[in-house]
Amino acid sequence: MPILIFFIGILSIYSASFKSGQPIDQTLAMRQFLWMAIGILFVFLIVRVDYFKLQDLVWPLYFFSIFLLVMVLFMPMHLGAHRWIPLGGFNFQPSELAKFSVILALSQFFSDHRPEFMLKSKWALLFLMVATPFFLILKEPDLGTGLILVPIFFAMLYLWGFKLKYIAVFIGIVCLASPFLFHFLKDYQKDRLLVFINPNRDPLGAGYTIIQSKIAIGSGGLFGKGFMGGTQNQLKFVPERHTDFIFAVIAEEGGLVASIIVLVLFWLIVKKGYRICSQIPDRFGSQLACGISTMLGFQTIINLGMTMGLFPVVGVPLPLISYGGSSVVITMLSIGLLLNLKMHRPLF
Amino acid sequence: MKANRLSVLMLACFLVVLVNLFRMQLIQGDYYRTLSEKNRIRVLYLEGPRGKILDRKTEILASSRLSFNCSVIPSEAKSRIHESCEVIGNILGVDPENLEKRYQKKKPGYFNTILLAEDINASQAIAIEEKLDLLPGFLIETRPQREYPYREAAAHLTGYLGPMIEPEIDELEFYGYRQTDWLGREGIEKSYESYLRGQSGGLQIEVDNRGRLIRALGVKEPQEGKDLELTVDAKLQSHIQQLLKDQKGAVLVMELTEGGILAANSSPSFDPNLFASVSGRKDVGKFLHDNAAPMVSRGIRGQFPPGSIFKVITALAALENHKISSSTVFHCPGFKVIGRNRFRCWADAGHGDQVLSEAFAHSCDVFFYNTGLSAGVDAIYEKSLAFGLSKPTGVDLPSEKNGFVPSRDWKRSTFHSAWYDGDTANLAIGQGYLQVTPIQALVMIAAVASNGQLFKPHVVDKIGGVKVAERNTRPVAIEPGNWKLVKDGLDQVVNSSSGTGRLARVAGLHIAGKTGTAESGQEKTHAWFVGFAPVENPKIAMVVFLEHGGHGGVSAAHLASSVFAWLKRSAYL
Repeated sequence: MPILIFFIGILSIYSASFKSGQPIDQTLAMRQFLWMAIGILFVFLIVRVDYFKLQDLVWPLYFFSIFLLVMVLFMPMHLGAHRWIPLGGFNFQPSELAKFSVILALSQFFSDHRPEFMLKSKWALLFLMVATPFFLILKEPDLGTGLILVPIFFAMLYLWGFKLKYIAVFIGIVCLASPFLFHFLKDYQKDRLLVFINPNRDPLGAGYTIIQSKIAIGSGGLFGKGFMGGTQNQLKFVPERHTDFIFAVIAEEGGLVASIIVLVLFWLIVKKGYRICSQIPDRFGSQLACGISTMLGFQTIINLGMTMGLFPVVGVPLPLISYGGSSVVITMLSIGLLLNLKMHRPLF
Repeated sequence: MKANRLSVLMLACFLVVLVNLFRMQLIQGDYYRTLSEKNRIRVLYLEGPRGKILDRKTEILASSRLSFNCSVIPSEAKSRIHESCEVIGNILGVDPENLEKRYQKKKPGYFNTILLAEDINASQAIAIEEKLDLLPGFLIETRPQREYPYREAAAHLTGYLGPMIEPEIDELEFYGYRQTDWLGREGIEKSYESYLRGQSGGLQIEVDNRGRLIRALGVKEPQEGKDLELTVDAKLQSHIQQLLKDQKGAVLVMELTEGGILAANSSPSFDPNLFASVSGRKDVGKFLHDNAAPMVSRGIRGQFPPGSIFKVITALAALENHKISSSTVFHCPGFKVIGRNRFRCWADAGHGDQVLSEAFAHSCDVFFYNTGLSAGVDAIYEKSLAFGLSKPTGVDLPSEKNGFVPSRDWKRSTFHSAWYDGDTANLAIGQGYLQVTPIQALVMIAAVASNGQLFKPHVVDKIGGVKVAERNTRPVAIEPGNWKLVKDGLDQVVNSSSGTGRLARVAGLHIAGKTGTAESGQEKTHAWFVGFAPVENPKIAMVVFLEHGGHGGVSAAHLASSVFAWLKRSAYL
């Protein structure tokens, strides 16, 4: 299933980044293929280990990714952000790794403690565990990846046994504080949020992406304009069309049919994830499954919502489909973990 | 249980997305489709005009005028191409089917336009422009058309423009060239391509689906190429071309203050205007397949045996090595026996006893056989290299040839045979394996004229009004006394009553020079004349080379005389 999604992705990246005369082995699609191969390698590696052994690695990994997040801030700016660490030939995005390691760390924490018997200091620690990477990622700035941490955190809290009403109260506080937080955002981030409320506010500037992406999706109709036939895509009206806005390409060229296929495939993965979550008796495993499923699900929803104008443009890649090595590898790693959890159900 | 609730929540979110997809793609699909159809951005290229090529008196040698082309954008014209071609065909008076055939030969690339008709006249362009509403996807593009008013006279010098060939397209795309751009193919157009070329600008406009402008999105102003001012005098250039007429050959004139080329003629010539226009290119075959090789710039690309003009170097090689002096006498009975061969002097009767200055004046071969043999091949070889032979002179024109000077080593490695005295004798009078280009002969004689300044000649004086040319010389180390001896000899060539270069004389001008009559392997010999004037303070050096032109002392010296006379009239001398 993930492989199927991935192939849809490859085709759309190929279409989105097509330049005439470019040999196939230099296309982005080909590079993505390579990343996928690495990702699959990771899956096979991770499926073979007993996931309990992973528990020992949780904290080192967590601190390592915090370290990388700090380091990335000292990296040269690229596209107006310190999001990438150049690693000889390719760029590594530590926020993707951080997302993954936060899920692991939270699973570990939640399996070690019970909500009924928590000290005040432990609560603070829990909060800090999420807040540190959260703010570091916002600092890069990478709004999308940062915000994804929030629903993951809440979902895992909920599964842990945290009372729903507290979560509601917490969300309420965040909402109340948001005008205050808004103040801290970068100008372009503010623009994006305002544009989300009214895309026609700046049709050639910040609203341009949303408008063009909506036109692309809408004009796809039932069956789409055919592979490589999307005018919005091929004429380069949609910016970032091989990364965050790849879904606009799929929807334009493949129409409603392709969009639904993509949607259903993602749903099947997420559903499977929650099923695994509910079937695993040990708490580390089920928390892990819950975190991963929530991550995949929300990323999909936010990304699709973003391209359709339902969410502000926050920069979340569509798992497995958007071009980007770090994202592909981390997503494959997560899916590998899910498979691992399914296969190594402890026998007690 | 809790996981199920989360999963239900997630499902709800997915459903929202799904419903929205339905809404956008099915219910509002038509609305978005029209929006996407309306979305058309065109890039119109604004070509930066190519710089002009001017002579030293800012006379135009090459410039561009505006021409109109009718082009079509395939993606927009597709639907009505047949009807459109008929309309266009009527206006232009061409068969609409031909236009449609040209359209069918399109190349991929969404925004690339296809040229349907080139260089249409202004009234046709306006007529099409008026009907553009009926012609979706069609447009009138303007293109600068290169013109060379001096036609054949400066063809090899200016060169011409030509379209890119397939392998160049990829390479040049990087430098901002478009597939349809033309580039300098020969001469100055080629060697100064990067200066002459304008930077294309562009106009990004949004149009509706009928190609009508909605609004301009952005403009990048095109930049003009730089004008070049040459050291060449266009009047002299065309005067010399008239003198050459159909005679194959080359004439090069250089001033000796900075080493600027005043004229660089090659004959036969071709009309660069034909090459630079789309319609004319159909007729260029006659030049390309002509056996007389009109495309070859003989001045820098022709390699010929220099004949007696080389005796200058032979003499200097012997003088510098103290093998002969001004009083050395060799007897000329009309031949010299070397080994078992008789080497003839050009005068069968012989010249009798000769000293150096007489030998120059009479171009006595026997004297120079002896001189060459006493100097030896190695000394002659060394002096030849010192005068820049067997290497390009470095003039700023493309594809200069090396020429060739033979040596002992070369003969051994190529023919596996020893160097014989006969070879030296041949070399001494500029025959045998030796080959020089006319421009090398020019640089050689200029070095004599200026007492050892080996010039790197140049053609371009100013780029965009900024002077780039400068005197660029390196010394040829010869004892001053020996320069005097050689120059006296060259003086005698023209001014002695029995000198071979008598015909080069111009009243009121003190000219020195050397004639050359080189065996060409055919019945008619090559005629050479190299010279400079005035002798006391040389300002001009010149080479006249006439391929199969007979005797240097007759045809070449005579032509040189006319050129010197022109230069005197025009106050260069």
